[in-house]
Amino acid sequence: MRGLLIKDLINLKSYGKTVLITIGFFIAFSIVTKNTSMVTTMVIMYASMLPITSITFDERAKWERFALAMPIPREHFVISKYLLGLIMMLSGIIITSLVNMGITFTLGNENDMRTSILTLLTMTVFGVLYLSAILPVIFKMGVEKARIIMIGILIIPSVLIILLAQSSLPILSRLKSLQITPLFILIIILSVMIAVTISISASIKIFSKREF
Amino acid sequence: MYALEINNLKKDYKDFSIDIDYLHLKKGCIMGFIGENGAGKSTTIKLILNLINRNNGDIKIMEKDNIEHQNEIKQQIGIVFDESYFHDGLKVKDISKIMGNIYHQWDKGCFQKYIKKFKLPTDKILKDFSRGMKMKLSIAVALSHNAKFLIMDEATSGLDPIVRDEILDVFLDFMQDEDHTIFISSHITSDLEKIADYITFIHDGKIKFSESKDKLLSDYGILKCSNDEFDFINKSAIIGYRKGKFGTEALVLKNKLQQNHHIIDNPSIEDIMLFHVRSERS
Repeated sequence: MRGLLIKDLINLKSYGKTVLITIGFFIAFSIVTKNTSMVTTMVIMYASMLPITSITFDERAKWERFALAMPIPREHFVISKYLLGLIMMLSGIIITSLVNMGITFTLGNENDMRTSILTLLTMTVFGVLYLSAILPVIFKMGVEKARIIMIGILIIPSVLIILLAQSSLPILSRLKSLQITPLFILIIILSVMIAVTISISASIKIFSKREF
Repeated sequence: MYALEINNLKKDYKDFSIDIDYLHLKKGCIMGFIGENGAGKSTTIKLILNLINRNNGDIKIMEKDNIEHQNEIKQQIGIVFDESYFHDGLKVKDISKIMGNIYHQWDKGCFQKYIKKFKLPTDKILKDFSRGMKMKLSIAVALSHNAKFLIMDEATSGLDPIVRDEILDVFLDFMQDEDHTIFISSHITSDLEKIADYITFIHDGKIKFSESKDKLLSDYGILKCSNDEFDFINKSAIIGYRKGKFGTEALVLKNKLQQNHHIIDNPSIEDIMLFHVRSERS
């Protein structure tokens, strides 16, 4: 497992420059607009995409066949991609938290602390759920064939959210006054953990049947 | 003791199937696995490595089931495929770091010894390596974790004769330890003729023969005679023949020929393979 993660991190390093430039651009954007929503959204989204990028690299090199010919259990291969996602998301959370705090305490942030935390929490939850939904599909059919489904999984909830935001359903006003209580966060964390567990076991099942 | 035992192996595809009743490779030997493209060589190797699921049968590597004990077995197997499956952006030192975290017995010093021996650049990314360099790197990896059994799928194909010869010498070096075994598939039969102890020929998913190389080369002969003479040859001696305007060439089992006044040349492994597949049958 460690070997796989090291391999992924070394490979993503080559991609690192592009990532840093992009993040730098969004940080600059936040500084100018004094609004950190954009940087939070983009960094977390980027982080959740990196395991998919690493699978693309693997597929291009036909690494899976070689990896599975070595003493690497198939479940380790699967779990390593989730772990990579976790590492990247945590890094994303740290970066965006620092940017948020930096801008809030120096320039002043248009968003209050509650909005910043909510944005970060929402994006992290979406990122993790997105990965949990897409990874089993990718393990089944490969990144290339899963591309349409990946876009679908991204667009359909976004459209639904936009439609919901434009509607005048009573749930909206209730959402606005939603308190971020510890219980609320606990429920969110538990739900996400259940989703991830289901996703991992589905991926392992799918990947162990795949032929290389 | 056998390094590899395959019994009643079956794998079905829509228009092709692998059906191997029996294939055994003794420890300490090199077996060349030959056959034309699409005969089932790579599929068999994938089945041995459990990269694809079998429909039936069992495979034992070093007397252990290849699925049940696969991680333990794979620690002791060196793999070389027909191309390098490392990512283009990696460097030699990255590979050593990755492999050191995959193989328990990764020997960094041994790896570096092979990198030097093969004159592989350590400052370049693999994208800038030639095909020969990439293959040498794969072989260096396969030999640097104290593997006892090398499994190679077309490892020498696509390489020039000089690189191939250099690599064959490395394999012979590896075989200095009597515990070591090699199973190598190739359609370059001349390479196998140089190093193999046993030759196994697969055709259309089935094993046509699996014999010691010396026995094959001494048992078989290429008979050359006129078409008229050919009609009087004992048919049970003939494996396959090619009739031309000026005479007939046939692969024969020498000990079944009744008269011994015929011109009989020594065959190559390639001749034996071609006559088994492409010639007319008696």
